[in-house]
Amino acid sequence: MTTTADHRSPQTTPEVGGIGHSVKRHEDDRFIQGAGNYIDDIVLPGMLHMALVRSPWAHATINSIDSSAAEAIDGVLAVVTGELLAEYNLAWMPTMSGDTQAVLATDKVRFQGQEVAAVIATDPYIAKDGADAVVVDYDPLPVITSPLQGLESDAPIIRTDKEDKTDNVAYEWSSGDTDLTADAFAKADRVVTLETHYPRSHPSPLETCGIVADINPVTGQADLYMTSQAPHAHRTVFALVAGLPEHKIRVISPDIGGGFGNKVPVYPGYVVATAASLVIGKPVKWVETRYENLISTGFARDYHMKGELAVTNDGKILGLKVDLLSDQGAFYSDAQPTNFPAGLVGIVTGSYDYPAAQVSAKGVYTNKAPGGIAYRCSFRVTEASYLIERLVQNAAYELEMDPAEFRAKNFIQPDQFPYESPTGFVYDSGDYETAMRLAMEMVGYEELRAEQAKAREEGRLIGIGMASFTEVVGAGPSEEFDILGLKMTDSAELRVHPTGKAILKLSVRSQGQGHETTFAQIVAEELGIPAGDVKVIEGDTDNTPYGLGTYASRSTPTAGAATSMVSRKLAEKGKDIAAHLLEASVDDIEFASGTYSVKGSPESSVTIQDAVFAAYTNPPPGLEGGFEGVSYYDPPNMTYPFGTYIVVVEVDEGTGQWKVDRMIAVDDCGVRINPMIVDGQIHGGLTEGFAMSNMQWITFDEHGNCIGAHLDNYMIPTAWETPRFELGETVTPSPHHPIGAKGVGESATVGSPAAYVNAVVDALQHRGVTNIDMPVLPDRVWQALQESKA
Amino acid sequence: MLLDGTPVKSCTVFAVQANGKSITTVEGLKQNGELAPIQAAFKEEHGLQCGFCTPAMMLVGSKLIEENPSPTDDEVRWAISGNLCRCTGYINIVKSIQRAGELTKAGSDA
Repeated sequence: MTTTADHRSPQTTPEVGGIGHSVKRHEDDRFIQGAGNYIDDIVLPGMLHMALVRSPWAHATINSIDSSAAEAIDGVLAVVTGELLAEYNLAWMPTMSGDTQAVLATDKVRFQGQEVAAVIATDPYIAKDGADAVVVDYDPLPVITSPLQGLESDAPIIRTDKEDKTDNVAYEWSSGDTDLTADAFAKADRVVTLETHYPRSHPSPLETCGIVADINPVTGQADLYMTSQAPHAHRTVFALVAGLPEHKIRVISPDIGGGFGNKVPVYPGYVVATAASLVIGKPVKWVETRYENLISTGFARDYHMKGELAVTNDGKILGLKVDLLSDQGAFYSDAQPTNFPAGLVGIVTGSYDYPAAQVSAKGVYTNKAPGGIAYRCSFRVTEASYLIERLVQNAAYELEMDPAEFRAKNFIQPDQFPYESPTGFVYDSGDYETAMRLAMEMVGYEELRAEQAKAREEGRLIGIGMASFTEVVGAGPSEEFDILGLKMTDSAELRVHPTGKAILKLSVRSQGQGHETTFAQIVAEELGIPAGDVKVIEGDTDNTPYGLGTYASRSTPTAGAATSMVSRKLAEKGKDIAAHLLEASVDDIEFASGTYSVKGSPESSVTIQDAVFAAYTNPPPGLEGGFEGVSYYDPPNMTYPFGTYIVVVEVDEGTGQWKVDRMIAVDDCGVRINPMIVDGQIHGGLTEGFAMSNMQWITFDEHGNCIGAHLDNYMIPTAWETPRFELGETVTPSPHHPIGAKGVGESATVGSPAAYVNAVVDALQHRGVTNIDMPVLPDRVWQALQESKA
Repeated sequence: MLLDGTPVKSCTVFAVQANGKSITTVEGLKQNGELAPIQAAFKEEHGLQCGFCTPAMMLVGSKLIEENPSPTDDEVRWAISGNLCRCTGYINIVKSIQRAGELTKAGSDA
C-alpha cells in the first residue's frame, strides 16, 4: 500500500462530519457539566454496601474466620465467607484465560490483598468497620515472589487446589521454527543478547472497579451495573459461574473512568456482591478503594525476557531467539485468547525482515496479585515491542552502526506486504522507513547526533533513543481467536428513524476513547447522515448486540468495521426505495455522499433522508419495512499499526536523573477517523509509556508485601513531569478493513517505552552501558554509571 | 471543588470546615444557563477523554485564569500538578485552560 495525501482529505463536508474531520466529541457535553454517570453515581432504593476483608499475608493457611464481632455491629447484615460460597458452588470462578481463581479464600490465601470475606451493611462506613472486625487466624507459609524461585525444585506448590499439580507452571507456549533458527545462528557473525525485566505495572485508572448488583427477588432479573470493558463477555461468564439464566442477566456498564485493561477481568468482588444481592434480595454496591485496586486487580507485564539477535557484520539480521518467563501471580487471570496463552508476544520479530525466529514462554504462579492483563496493549505486544526495539538498538552499537541506519537496512519493505513473519503473523500493510525518516526529519536527527558528540566532549550526557514498532491489534479472525470459546467477532446495529436521525448500538464499550463521536462519523461517511444525527449506545447488554468488548485496540478494527458493513447494507436497501421514488430501475441507482441518483441524470435524485422517510411512509411494494440492520464482523486478518518514536534526553551524571528534551511520535494507524481524537489517544499512550519507563513500579519484599499499593509509592506522572510531545503521521491504510483504519488506542504505550529507555542507554553507551531495567530510576542510572567506571 | 473560590480536595475537607462558606462544584460553573469559558474550552481543545478528572481540572483551571488569564504552559502545569489524569497526557488540558483564558478575556473585552 502507498502513502498518499488522498487518504487524509475528508470526503464529506464539515456539516456531515465523516472520516477525517476533527468533530468535537458528542460525549463531552455531559462530562463538562458534571453529568457523567460512573459506577459510584449509581444509587438504587434500599441499596446495601459491601466491604472486603483482605489477607495481610502473601501465603498462609486459613485456620478459622470469626465473624461474630462484625455481625454484632449495628447495621451489619451479613458476613460472607468462602465456606458459605462453597455451599453454593461459588467459592471459585473461571478466569478469562481458562484458569480458576478463588472468589473468597477457603483453604489458604495465595497473595497479599486476596479476598477472604465480605461484609454487607446498610452504609459503606459500617461495612468497612465490619470488615475490620472480622478476625482471621492464619498460619504463614513460605512465599514465592519471583518466577525463578517458583521453578526451583523444592518450591512450595501454590496451586494446591488443583489436583495433581506438582509444580508452579501456569502455561508453556512456543512459536517459530527451531531448526531454521539454529541455522540462522550458525551463519551469524555475532549474537547480540539482552536480558531484561519488564516490571510489574498497574493501569491504575482514576476510577477504581466496582459493581451495583441488583437481583430482583420476585422476577429473578439480575441487573449488574459494572465497570466493564467487556459487558457481553462478562454476562456470559456470570451465566456460567452463577448458573443464572443469561437472558435474565443485564450487564450495564455505565460511564467508565478509564480502563486500560484493568476492567477486562471478572473480579471476586463482582461475584460476591452478586451472590449477596441474590441471597438478601436487595441491591448491593461495592466500589474498591485505591489501595484495593492497586493491590488486587489486574496488574500488567512482569516479564523476565531474554532476547538473542543473530546478525552479520555488515548489519543484516538473520534470526531471533526469545525466552520469556512471566510472573502470573497466584492465578492465571489474564484475558488471553485461548490459542495464545502468552498473548500475541510472537510479534516480537518486529518491523524487520529475517527468515527465522523462535519464541518460548512459560508462565509461573507466584504469591503475588493475579493478572498479567494487557495494560493499554494488545495481549503482550508491549513486552514484545520493547524487547526487539531494545535489541536492535544494542545490535547497532555492537556493529558500530547508526541505530536508524541499522533499522533501515532490516525493515520489511513496502512491496513485501502482506508479509508473513517467522512466527506466523501476516502483516497487512506498512511503510516503516517513511515513518522513521519523517520522525528523523522532525527531530533534526543529523544535527542532534553532532550536538551529542559535542556535548560528550563537554562532559554532558545527551541520548537519542528510537523505536520503530509494529503492533498487531484487532483480535481477531474467528478461526484463530476466541476467549473461553467465544469467538472475537463484534457487532453494530443501526436504525435510522423516519426523520433521518439514527441510533447506532455497539458491542464494544468506550472508556474515554470517544466512541460516541468516532463511530457516528463512520455512519456519516458511509450514509451521508450527519454525525450529529447519530446517537451511539454502548454498555448495556439488553440493548446492544453481542461482542467481546473494548481492549487490545480492537473496537475500530472490529465494531468499527461492523458499523461500516451495516451502513452499507442499509445503503443498498435505500437503493430499492430510491428506485421506487425516482421511478427508475434499481440497477440504475447510484449512491454517493448521502444522495441516490439515476445514472446519467444526476438531477433525478433523492437524499438518504428522503429514502429513509419513504421506508416508513411509502415503501415499495414487497420490501420489508423499516430502515434497520445488524452486522457481525469477523475480521479477515489482524491490523498492524506502526510508527517511529524518537526521544532525546539529557542525563545528569551526578544524580542519575534524566529529563526528556524532545519526544517525537510518528504514528501510522491507517486511516484516521477523527484526527483530534487520534492525537489525544497518542498523547495518553506516550504518557503511560513514559510512566512505565520512568516511575511506575509495583514490587514486593521477600515476604510478599506489596510495595506500590498506594499512590505515594506507586508513582504516576502529573502534568509537571510529563514530557511535551510532537506528533507526526503517515497513512498506510489497512487493505482488509472496510475503511482502512487500524486502531490506535495503544500504539503509543506499546512503542514508546523502548524509545525512552533507548535514549537513556544511548546517553551512556559510550561508557559501556547496554541496559538499565525499567523503571529507569535515577539510582539505577547512577549505579550503571559507577559500574561503567569500575 | 472551590471553597470560597479556592481549590481544595473535597475528600480532605470536613463538613464543619465548610460551615458558612461558599462551595462551587462543576455543576456551578455554568452561568445564566450558558457554558462557562472553561467548559467550552475543554470541549474545543479535546481536554478530556474519560471525563473522570475533568470537573476538578476545570475548577482548578477556572481559578488559575481568574488570577492569570494568560498563563504559560509551565504555569498551567504547575497549577494542575495536584490533579491526576490518566488519559490525556495533560497536553490538551493545558491548551484548554489557556484557551479558556483567551475566551474569558475576549468576553470581558466585548
